[in-house]
Amino acid sequence: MTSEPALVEARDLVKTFRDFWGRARVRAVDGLTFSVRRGEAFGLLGPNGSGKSTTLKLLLGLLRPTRGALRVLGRSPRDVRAKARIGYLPEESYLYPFLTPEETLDFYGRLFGLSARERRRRGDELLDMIGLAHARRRPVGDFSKGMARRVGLAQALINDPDLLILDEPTSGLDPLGCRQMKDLLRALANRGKTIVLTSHLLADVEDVCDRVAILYNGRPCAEGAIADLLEERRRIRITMPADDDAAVARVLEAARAAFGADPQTDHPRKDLETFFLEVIERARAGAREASGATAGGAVAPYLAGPGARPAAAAGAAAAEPPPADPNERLRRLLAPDAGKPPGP
Amino acid sequence: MRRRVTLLYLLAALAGIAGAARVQPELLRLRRAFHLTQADPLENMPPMVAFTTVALGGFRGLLVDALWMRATRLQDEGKYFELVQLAGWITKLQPRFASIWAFHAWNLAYNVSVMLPAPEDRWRWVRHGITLLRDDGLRYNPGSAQLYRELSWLYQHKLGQDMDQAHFFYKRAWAEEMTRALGGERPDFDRLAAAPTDLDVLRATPGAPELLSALDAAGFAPPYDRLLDADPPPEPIASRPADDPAVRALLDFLRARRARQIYRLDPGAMKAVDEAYGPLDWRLPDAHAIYWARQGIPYARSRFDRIQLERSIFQSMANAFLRGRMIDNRELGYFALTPNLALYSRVRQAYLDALAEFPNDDSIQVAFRNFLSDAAMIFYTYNLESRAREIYAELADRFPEVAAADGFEAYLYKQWQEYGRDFSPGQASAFVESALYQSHFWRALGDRDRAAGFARMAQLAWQRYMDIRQDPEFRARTGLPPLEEMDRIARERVREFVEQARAAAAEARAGENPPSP
Amino acid sequence: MKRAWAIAALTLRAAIRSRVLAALTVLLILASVGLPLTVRGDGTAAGHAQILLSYTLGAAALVLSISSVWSGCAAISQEIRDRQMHLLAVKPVRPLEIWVGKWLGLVAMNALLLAFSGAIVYGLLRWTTRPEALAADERTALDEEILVARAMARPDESEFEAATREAFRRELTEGRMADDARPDEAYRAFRHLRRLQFYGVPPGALREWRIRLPAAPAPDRPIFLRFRFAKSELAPTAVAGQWFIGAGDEVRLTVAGEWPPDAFHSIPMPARPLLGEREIVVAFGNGDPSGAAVFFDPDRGLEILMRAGGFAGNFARAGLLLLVQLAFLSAVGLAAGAVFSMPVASFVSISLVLLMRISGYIGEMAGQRQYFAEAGRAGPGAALADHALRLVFRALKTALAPLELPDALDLLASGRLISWGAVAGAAAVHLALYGGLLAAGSAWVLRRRELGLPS
Repeated sequence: MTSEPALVEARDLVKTFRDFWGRARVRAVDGLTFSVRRGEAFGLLGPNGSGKSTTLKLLLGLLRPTRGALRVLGRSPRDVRAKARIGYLPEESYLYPFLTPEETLDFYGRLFGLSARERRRRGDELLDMIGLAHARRRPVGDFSKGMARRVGLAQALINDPDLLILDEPTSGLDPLGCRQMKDLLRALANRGKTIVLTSHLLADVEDVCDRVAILYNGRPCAEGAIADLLEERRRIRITMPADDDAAVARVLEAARAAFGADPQTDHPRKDLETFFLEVIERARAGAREASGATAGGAVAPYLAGPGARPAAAAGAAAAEPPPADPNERLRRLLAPDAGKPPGP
Repeated sequence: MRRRVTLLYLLAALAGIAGAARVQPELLRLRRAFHLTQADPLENMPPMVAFTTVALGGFRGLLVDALWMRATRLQDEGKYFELVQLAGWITKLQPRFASIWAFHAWNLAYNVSVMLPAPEDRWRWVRHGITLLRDDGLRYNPGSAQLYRELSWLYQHKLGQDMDQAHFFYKRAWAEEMTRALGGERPDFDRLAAAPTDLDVLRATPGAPELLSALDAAGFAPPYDRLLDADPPPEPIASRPADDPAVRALLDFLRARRARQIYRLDPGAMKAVDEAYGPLDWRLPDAHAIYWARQGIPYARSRFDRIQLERSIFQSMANAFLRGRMIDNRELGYFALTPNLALYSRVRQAYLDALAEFPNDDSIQVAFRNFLSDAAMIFYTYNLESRAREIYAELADRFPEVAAADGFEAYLYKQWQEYGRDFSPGQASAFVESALYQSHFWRALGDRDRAAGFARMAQLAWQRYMDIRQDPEFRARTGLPPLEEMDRIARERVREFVEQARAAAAEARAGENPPSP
Repeated sequence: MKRAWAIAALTLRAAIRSRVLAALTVLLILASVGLPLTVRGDGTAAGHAQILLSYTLGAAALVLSISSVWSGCAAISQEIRDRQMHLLAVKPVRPLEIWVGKWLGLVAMNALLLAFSGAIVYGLLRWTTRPEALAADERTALDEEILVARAMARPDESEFEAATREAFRRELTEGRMADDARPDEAYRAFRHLRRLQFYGVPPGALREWRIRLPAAPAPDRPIFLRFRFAKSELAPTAVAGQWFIGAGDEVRLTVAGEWPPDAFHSIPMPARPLLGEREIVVAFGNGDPSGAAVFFDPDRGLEILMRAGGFAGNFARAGLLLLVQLAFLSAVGLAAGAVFSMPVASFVSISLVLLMRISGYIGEMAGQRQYFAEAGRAGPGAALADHALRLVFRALKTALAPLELPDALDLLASGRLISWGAVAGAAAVHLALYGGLLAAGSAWVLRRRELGLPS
């Protein structure tokens, strides 16, 4: 697509787990080849035990490939310089339970070599983003699974990574959180970040990813852009208002005449997720403050990518009142910046 | 249904436990009676010790080994400060093992004490050994004849004999403590036994509350134990007459308390010992050796145990006879031990009893023979010739092999010759003293030649004895006091005797010729 | 390096918030305050001070040693097991930085706890030995022999070594060596015998030794002559003799007396006659009346002790030495935790600590020639077993010998100097050298390890 080298390149990747005596026991990844370009959101799908998590760990350097070539950000996955630009959200929360979210972000920020001021700024913005600003001083060990997950996401983003690697990002989140996560991922991808994620929640992958690969028993079975894979180019769906029965009958007649058969008709359905969000939003408008995670605010400004404006812009953005209609707000998040090409 | 079944099981379990508890004491008794266990069931032990001996289980042996190795290493390196605690732990971890108590007490009293130059330090370590046995060893092993014997031995040999350079220091220190605790050479056992047992009972004595409050004002805190060590006695005591009932009750109370709690002496038992083997000078270690050996006799389970304890008793008695009278002249700094002739018949009886019980024991025979020989010599040199001849007759009768063919004087002469080469300090002292006594006695009676003869004999014996002791340490340890000093004392004794004799004679004359009305 | 500090801060925070620190503090208080109350001394003030220093601080050191090893094992292996290491490993931090960071955190925790218990013990010591509580002579004994840092000097053996070599060469050239004897073993035996003679004094004779003083004597503090000897006869009676201490060619001090054998004796001598001298001559004249020869213990039988510093400084240096030991143990635990899982790691490291503790006994066993044969069993099997055992003990001894640290508490309790040099040497060997090796090895292992393996 571009002349830029791929951020992740895997060729004929094989990983065999051996037992204590050195005998081969399980071949978790068997001949996987794929590449991920800058700004892509790439999904790895498959049933349980298909090698998705293993592939991620290979990308992160937590495992060494038995055979095959793997380059991440142009370097070996174990290279420290590569790790400086990667963010990782694991499947379970592997945080230190005795640290508060504030301290967690501060610690990982130090590991990335951020200055104290920068750590504080990013930490505050991230906590606002994930909606845990009110619980910033409670130990993570006291959190629910969803709250801990959000903190995990925050630590994955603390260094403004170029490559974001996520293992089952939406598992364990309630529909609100799920939606927010997906919107965030989409927003980040639109801003030029590269995302690699695994999931077995197909609907979520469909919403977020540009390209997917489907694994079974460690082997790739299908790979390609979602649009290409899922679109049925040979059929078309037309949506029109249903108020005027006569107009509808005329359209159907014309179609019958053109194709020789009655086309399939039904009323389009909102998806359950959108309906759910609307209901919750209406309920919240009349309810008190929640003690769990709040819905959170806009994407942290520093994650906005190149040309991101610092704190002043954040203040300007906050001066704008958030729109009452949740759909509008979400649309705003998804809308790309002016001047940038829309996502692939 | 389920709950009812559970309840039933519970009741059955409780019944079982109750039944077991009822049977337990009988089982214990049977165990002990048939000696089924090597270690007696743990009773009368402080809960901490009982707990550790059980809780440690098999590790107890390892721990004792580690502690013992550490103790040996530290002792070797000259680091003694830990040894008291280590000995305490080692013994308490194996509390029923009497030999361990014996070993450690001996180790502290003999090995460690001899490593230190200063007598005060030595005395401290000897006391550590004694207290280990007396306070803890006997408490954890109330029925161990061996420990009683070991304790008796410590008093008899370490304190009583003269092997240790600092033995005079030990004797004086012990005499000092006993004087304070018991009130003098001849304690009044009845009063001590009848003394009030606590302060409340004491206050019931007339005059006691005022005395106690006066003592409070003088700065003595209850329970007034320090009063015994105060010298001179404080004003509230000194201002009252000596036979004031409150003062006497208080002193009795304090002394009985100290004797019981610190020295573990029971006045009733002391009285029994004194009556059986006395009159003893309780300021000297021999009396205590006899006391502890006597306490152990009821626990002697074998013939060997009995012999050991009996031997301890009559050896201590023989020692008490040889040097059981203490002279402690503070102004001259003169401290000496001299024979106690009053004990003779008792000692003889003790030997006879032992011989009756163990007729074939060679050691008792030999000891008795030596005793009779020494006694004959001593009585002779104290100018009690007829008694001496009686004793010699008995000696010749029982042990014909040592009797001289030509009679008593020849025997004496032979003994003197032998003694001339090898006196023991007690014998030397007795010999010289009695020779001086004789000398002054005969002078008082007008026989100057005989007096001079005895004086010469005393001088010669003294000189020869001290000539053998050139080494300064040897001389200090076993030497005799200066001859002039011994002479003065002998002269004093003769003077007393002469006065008494005169008074008796005057009385006798008065009886013959009653004064005319 | 900054990252290592971040990890160190995290480790310290983990220890504090996991209540490990609180539990250890309680234990240390119990040890520091409870032990002196329950342990019996020998009844003297000096004994009590020594108990405080050696038992109480020793118990604190033991508690901290065990906790160092344990925390070291847990620090890495538990994080690997709970997968928090995954989050660390994907950050741009090297395995060496992780290891060093955790080690620094553990050392900081140990330093805090050690300082805490040290402060308690020091306070207790000063309180129980305050001047009003002691008699005058107890006070002097304490001030001169325990609450002080004394440097030690032994006789100069350089001339002796040269003379021995010369004598041995003469023996060789005069053909007195048996054909089948090995020269190095023969020299060892020869030197041992001559050394005993060097420290032996025949009856009626005088023997001199040169001693180089560690520092110039201070005028108001005594110099101690500490010695122990064995007698050629079995009787424990004291030996009379005279000590002559001189410098240059004149005798400056004489001490006559009698001393029993096999016990340590310490003679205080005024320093004034020896002011300004760095090398003195000490001579002993044997005046034993029974004509026995006297042999001073070659290794520790003759020493000059003189004040080289105050107690507070010595106490602090002892604390530093203990801290070096604890840091080393933490490094051992961390290294084991990097390689093994928690149970195996703790077993391996505690075994190592135990081995280090009994290294003295291992050394003694290694010096023996026979084990089974001595116990009464003969035959080729026993000889073979003996040979194998000897090899094992020698190997253990060689392996453990470099791990030995000077016994800080023993030196402190006997009033001996722990010099800055000793502390620096221990730190260099145990921390820089061994610690560095452990760090490098652990980092290599961590790098090689596949952390993502399913557990």
